[in-house]
Amino acid sequence: MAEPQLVIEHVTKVYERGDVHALRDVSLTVNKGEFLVLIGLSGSGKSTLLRCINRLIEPTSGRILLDGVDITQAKGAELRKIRRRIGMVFQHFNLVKRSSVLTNVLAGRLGYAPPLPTLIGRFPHEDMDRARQSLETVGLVEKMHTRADQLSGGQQQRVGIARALMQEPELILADEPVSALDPATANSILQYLEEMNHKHGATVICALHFLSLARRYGTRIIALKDGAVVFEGLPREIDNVRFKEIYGEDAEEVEVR
Amino acid sequence: MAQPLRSGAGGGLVRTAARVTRAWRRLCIFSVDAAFLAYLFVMGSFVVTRIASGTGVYIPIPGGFVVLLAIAAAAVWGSLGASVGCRLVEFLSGRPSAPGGKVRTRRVPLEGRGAPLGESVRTRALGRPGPQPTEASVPSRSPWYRTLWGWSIVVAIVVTLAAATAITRVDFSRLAQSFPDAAKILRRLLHPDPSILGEVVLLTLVTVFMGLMATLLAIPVAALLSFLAARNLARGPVGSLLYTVVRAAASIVRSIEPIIWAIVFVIWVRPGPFPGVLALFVCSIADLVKLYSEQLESIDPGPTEAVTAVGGRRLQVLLYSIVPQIINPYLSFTLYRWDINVRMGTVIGMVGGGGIGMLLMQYVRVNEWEEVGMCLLAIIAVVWSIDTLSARLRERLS
Repeated sequence: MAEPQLVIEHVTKVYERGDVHALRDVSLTVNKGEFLVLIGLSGSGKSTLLRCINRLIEPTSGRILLDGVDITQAKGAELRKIRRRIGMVFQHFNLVKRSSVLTNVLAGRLGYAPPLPTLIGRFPHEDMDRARQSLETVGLVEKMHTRADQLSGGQQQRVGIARALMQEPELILADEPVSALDPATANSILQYLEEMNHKHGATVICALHFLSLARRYGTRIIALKDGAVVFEGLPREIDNVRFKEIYGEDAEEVEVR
Repeated sequence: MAQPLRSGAGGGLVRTAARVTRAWRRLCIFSVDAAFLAYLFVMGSFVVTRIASGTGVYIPIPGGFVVLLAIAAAAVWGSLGASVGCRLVEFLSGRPSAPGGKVRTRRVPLEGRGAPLGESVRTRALGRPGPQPTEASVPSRSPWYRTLWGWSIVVAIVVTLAAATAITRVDFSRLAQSFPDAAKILRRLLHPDPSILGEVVLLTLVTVFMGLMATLLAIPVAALLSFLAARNLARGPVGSLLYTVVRAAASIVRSIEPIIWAIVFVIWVRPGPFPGVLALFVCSIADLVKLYSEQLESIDPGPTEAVTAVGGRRLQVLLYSIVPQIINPYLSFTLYRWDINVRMGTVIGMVGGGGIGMLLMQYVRVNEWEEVGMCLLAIIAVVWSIDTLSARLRERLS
């Protein structure tokens, strides 16, 4: 079990404008098969940390190792090969609204498919089958040819998950995947992530707002505050005192079940 | 929230920068005032002499005299801290005219001049170094009609209206004087000559195709350039440079009307439809670059992030996340531009750019108004139908 898959060493991110420290010397290790939950206030650096892992944001300093390979040094094709192993699910789904569900899901395969045919929208047969399977997994096969913006928020996030599934990811980064959804839908989305974690053995790093959801789904919790790790431990270890440390004195815990 | 104060080594630099800013501000105020006063003097004297002499002969005041007078008056006026220039600079820079916190960044009027006018007293009190003025010593700004600058604006508007009337020689009575001649032409225009129908239809088609050709040629060029002219896609020093160059070039080209481009190209490649196409082509590029790039700037960056995250190449990111977002607006703008190009094409023909406009101009030169009427009829028909068609299509696209 305790096999480190992702090692983050002293990662710091300073935004050029207004010298904002988004991340301050963050170090942590993620083991294979974990469901790691990141908590913290908005602006605490959760999104930045996730995006540093797949280099949507360049860390200012520090190293990030995926299976022992330094991601921060990767360029061009090497970087693309690393990215295609890492699935990402976004708060606002990040689907192309005007494109069909199928096209959005197939886009998840762009890192693998032969590049030239994809320029005219052609994918190998295996990928078409895989897209159907992914949509079956999230229960949206019948919506395959619907435009993405015709779907509800929860359905759109399921398309986002199907897109990540296409990558057969070893690691899934989920950036507040349920913040834009109602509580009932939130649970079903997290169950899909849990399923990917259990069935496909994908490691999940998931930023969440609600502590109740973090306790329920997380195998481990890391809390960020002002870009620094302020707590690392098991879900049950977060008591009222810890909670106030992370969220501030005035915070009250809100339950979502 | 307390602003972090820059101190230590940066202090001197900051002070120098503040001094430069202040000097620049003062120069701006002075130039605006001088230009404003010179304008008032020149235009005022023009209107006065025109009215006094009644002949329309302008008796000029010596230029040097006006300049000296304007400079002197501007220097005095600006120093009072309540001139038109002061207000304009204040307005443009967005600096609030009141309270204590902004005192140091405020324009400081020239020291040591006593000018006990209501406005200037307040400004001087704010600008003086030393103890901060209390709230009570900061009176609210007077309404415009109690100030010199307010009334000088009113005078400027009146003078401008009077001068504009004199310069453009507006005289509506002349419309009535020449009406009988015009009515004759109008009557002939309203009886279009159908015998030239074939020729008219042919040349109208030429104009339509000119617009079409110019649009088609402009699409690929504008589409490529638009990616350079979108701020959100212009990354790095090279990107920023290209952004600035493309944007500037497009603005310059757009500021020159198609008809002027047509004259240039008619001289270059001889009269005919081709120079017309070239003129429309150049203007279409500039116009479409602006419209396209604005569309690119308003795309949702989310899908781009997502396709990058799955390991897509740049071209794939473009095709899978950006193109789907812009394709419909691009088509819509292009149709709109075609519509404009056909309309412009009729005008461009008049300077030798081919098509129906050229034919129309030929008949105008020989006073064959029935034929001109026919041409106008064709222009109305084609412009109206293309306008309607493109509006319908664009409606469906959005």
